[in-house]
Amino acid sequence: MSQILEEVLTSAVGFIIAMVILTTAIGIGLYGYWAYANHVTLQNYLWPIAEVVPYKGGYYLGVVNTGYEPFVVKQIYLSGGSTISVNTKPLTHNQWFAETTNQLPVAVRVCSAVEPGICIVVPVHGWSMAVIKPPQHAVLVVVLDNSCTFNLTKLNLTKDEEDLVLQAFHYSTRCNCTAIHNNLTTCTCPWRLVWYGWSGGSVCYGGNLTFLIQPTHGEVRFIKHALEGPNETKPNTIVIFNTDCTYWLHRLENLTKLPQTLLQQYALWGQLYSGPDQPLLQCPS
Amino acid sequence: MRNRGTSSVFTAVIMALTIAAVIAAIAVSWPMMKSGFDKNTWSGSMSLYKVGFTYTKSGAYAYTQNGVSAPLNDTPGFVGYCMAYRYNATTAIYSCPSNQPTG
Repeated sequence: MSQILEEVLTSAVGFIIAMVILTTAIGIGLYGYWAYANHVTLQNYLWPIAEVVPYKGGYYLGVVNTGYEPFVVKQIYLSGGSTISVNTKPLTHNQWFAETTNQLPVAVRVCSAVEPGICIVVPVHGWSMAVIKPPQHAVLVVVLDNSCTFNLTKLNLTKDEEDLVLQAFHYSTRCNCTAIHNNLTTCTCPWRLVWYGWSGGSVCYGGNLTFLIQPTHGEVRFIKHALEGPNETKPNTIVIFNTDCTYWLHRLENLTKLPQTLLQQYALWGQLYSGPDQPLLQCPS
Repeated sequence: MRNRGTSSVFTAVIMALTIAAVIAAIAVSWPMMKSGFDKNTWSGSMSLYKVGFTYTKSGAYAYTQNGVSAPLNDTPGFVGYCMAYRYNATTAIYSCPSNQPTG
């Protein structure tokens, strides 16, 4: 028996058998490695990004395909331990999938649209809050009333600047004044604040500004109580208040970033419309 | 003599198969290695992906560093690879690839 076995192993037949076994083993090994490498490669090219923001008491989940290998969203994992099964259409490059949930999503399972067996679980990115910042070189204009007309050519503004300022007076509001004891009158003026950047950007805010009118030495004194303006009312900006036909300028400190010529124009403007010839505040009766 | 000849051929075939296997392994590995490098590059770029907010003439806008911009609405919208909406007059809520995971 051993002689037969030795003959098989050492003869040409044995040689062929050995080659077949060896080649098969190498082939199977290589195929297995190829399958593994292909799996990993496809997995590596799944580039989903999942994000969530709180919205209307729930959560708004978004999944985007930032890569070029299409995938489908299969499951959403929630913070409570439950899952939501979804089966989206294949998302190609830059396509989004959105879903609202009651619980916070923590992860999303996506599978390749090419090889459905290849899946990955990706974490969901959380949210942040950010202040919407105005562009640089901003001017803040507070408009309390625009019942008066203006001839801005007096101010020698450029056309662009004139357009910006004119737009600030497109908002019309009225003050509400009430006489209180000792000749004091309080006025509450709804105001609109329009922010304009030199690049043409604008944004409008609203609020109430309370004034106290106090007669002193025969003149009407105007006392500003509190102005809770937006965050932009800070140094390097100009605030212009318009109180029913009378306009006055409030400069914030450190106006170094704005052109001086423009500051002078606005200062002139403030003098023109808040000078001694005109009452500082005229509230409608 | 016959055994010696068979042994030589056997050795040659083994060597040839080994070389072929190594070449095949490298050929199979290369796409996998490249995909790993690509994924690292992608992860790095995503970890820096942010969004900014500003005002323009037509309202508040969100913009990303790769030049994508979109109006900021009261409902969540997509800006590049970020999601954002206007929470109030001066605040936006957003989520970007650079944000920390929720889990």
